[in-house]
Amino acid sequence: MVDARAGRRGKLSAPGRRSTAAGRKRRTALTAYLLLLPAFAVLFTFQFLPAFEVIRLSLTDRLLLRPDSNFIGLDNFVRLWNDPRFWNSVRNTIYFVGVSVPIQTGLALVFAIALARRFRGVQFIRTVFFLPVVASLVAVSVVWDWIFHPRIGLLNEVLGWFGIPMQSWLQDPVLAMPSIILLVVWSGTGYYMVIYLAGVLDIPGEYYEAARIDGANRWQLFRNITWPMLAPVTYLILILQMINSFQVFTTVYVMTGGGPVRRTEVVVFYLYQRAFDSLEFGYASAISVALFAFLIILTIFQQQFIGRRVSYDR
Amino acid sequence: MLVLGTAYAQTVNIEVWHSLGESFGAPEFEAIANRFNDVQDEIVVEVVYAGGYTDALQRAQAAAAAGNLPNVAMFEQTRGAGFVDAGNVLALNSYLENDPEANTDDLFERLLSTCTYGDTLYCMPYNNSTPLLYYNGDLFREVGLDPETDAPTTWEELHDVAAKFAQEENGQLTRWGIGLATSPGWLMDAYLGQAGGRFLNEAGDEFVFDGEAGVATFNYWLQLIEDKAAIASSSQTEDFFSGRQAMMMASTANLVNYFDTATFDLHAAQLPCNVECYAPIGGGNFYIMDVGDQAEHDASWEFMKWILSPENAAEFAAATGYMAPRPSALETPTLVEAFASLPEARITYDQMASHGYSRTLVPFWNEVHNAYGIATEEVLLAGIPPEEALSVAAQEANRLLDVYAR
Repeated sequence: MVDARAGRRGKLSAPGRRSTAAGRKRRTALTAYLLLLPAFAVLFTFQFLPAFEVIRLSLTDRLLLRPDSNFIGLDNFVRLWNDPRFWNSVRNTIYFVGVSVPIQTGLALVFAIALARRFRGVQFIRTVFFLPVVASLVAVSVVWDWIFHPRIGLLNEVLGWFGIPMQSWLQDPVLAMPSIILLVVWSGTGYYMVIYLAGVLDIPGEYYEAARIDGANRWQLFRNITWPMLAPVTYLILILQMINSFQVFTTVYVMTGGGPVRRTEVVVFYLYQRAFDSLEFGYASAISVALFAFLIILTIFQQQFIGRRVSYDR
Repeated sequence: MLVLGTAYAQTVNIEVWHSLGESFGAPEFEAIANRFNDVQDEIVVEVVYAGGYTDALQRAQAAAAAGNLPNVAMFEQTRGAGFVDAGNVLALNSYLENDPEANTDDLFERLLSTCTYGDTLYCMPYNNSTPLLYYNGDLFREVGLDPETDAPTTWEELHDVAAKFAQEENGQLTRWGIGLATSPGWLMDAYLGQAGGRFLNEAGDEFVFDGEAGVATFNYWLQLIEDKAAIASSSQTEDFFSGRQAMMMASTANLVNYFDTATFDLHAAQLPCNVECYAPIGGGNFYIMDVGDQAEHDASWEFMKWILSPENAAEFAAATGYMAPRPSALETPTLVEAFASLPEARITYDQMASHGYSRTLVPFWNEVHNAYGIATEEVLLAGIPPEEALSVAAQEANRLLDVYAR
């Protein structure tokens, strides 16, 4: 408040003078920092500080309930490197990300384009697609638990009409991960669809009009207008998805508990087990630090190789 | 004003966390605890439902780290050890020895063993249970068995009886004898113990469940599956109560509920025996946490005595199926009546008194349980040889034993 008034006074008293302009800039900056302060304080206390603490813990042999711990250098990271269960969880995570991200992105784009048109009930259908996103994951899991149920489940019932034999989805070592992916795609796609939808609706209609006059067909419209115009959105969605997907946890925790035979034990679930089952907090922190480092590298990589090709020009 | 002030100063407030769900005696426990507030005015107890066993454990872990543990906490049998190991729990020996009202002789010794680390007692048994063999009398008669006399008492009988129920459709069992959980929980203690094995050796310095008895257990399970006597299942309760599965090993904790809701002729029996008879003691116990001052410790102990009085323990036991920890509770009109109307409620006491055993009390039990669960899945679902699967699990358990020996 005070700064804003000062700024206005400066403008009134000495218009056009350079030093005052700089001063105004400084004061504006100060205002901005002050406005950022509350958010930063919260973030610092609850996000950054714990993150630093995790890095410190990763260098110790801390056990969750024991107050004492010893500094052990990089021992946890050496152990991590040689831990077959960790690498198994990495493989599972890559499988999960590799399949779920393209499917979710693709479906989100298709739905967004389909629902960008105006027709009766479009608002309702958009809401329906977005509903799984706001539904509580626990409620969703209860429903899907039933859908996947080997004997009384909906999925087996429907497949049975086509003569496909019953499967025990979540208890089957081969089918468990695809089942998890199916659930995640169902519950997550709506979110990315909404982002895409905003992007699609943002494309000026004149482009399509002009192209149509030139005789472009629907594929050409998509290929040469929609897709490139959506590039920044796609880029954002990919980054969000990568970061979210590599940290998949709740669904696995609720649906399979990492099983069967560790086939759905993803990195964050393994981390959780180390932290809260064997209570090896130091080691769990090391896994967390490794994941963090990996995600940073991945994001930089995305920025370098995808981000550069994205044009924000209109 | 002065009187009020003094009265206020004398009041001790304690917080009690429990993990009893609605159908596991929460209403009864809360009623008993609230009555404690009515019958005296020095101690005020605030009862908090801390979530199920797993949630309550995590909540307590967080509370321990933040330094705001409650005065009294209920932990599932295998989950108190971490807090004992960390020094968060008060030893109760001096209370038991010095308080004549403790009636130490009037406590089941085998239940006390679930709270005993060396010579130190760290908790009081409260909602203890053992698994029973529940079976469907109607299905028994359907396959020509007499439910009164033909309940299996050995592994061999269990195999033969269970095999009789197999019904198939398109190569899939639509009715079967018994289920094998791929996450067997305390039933792994039961089978392993019956095969003559234990998780830890007697000295407590090595996990030995990968020995002969462990292998025999897995081979028995494989045999049951091969002979269509059993299926690997994670939905046994619903399968049992909908009549697809004829027998189920499950806690006595739900006994009253089960008998209330079963739509068929429900029976219960002791677990079958093999090399020996063995029933793990499950459920939860109450711990006095090392927080607050002496007055709070004493108040917590008073509360323990209240809920463990023969009448109160009997009331809770009769409503659920859990075992009252005091033999004298069995003589109260409440339990005498309960046994008269549901004789099956007594089975767990007989089983516990003759061969009930404490679970394995190590701070990292959850991880041992996971490792054993993975081994079970590997054997039942992935065809990995029992020896190999068990040896990997035992290695992990022994590694943690070393980690915690530091």
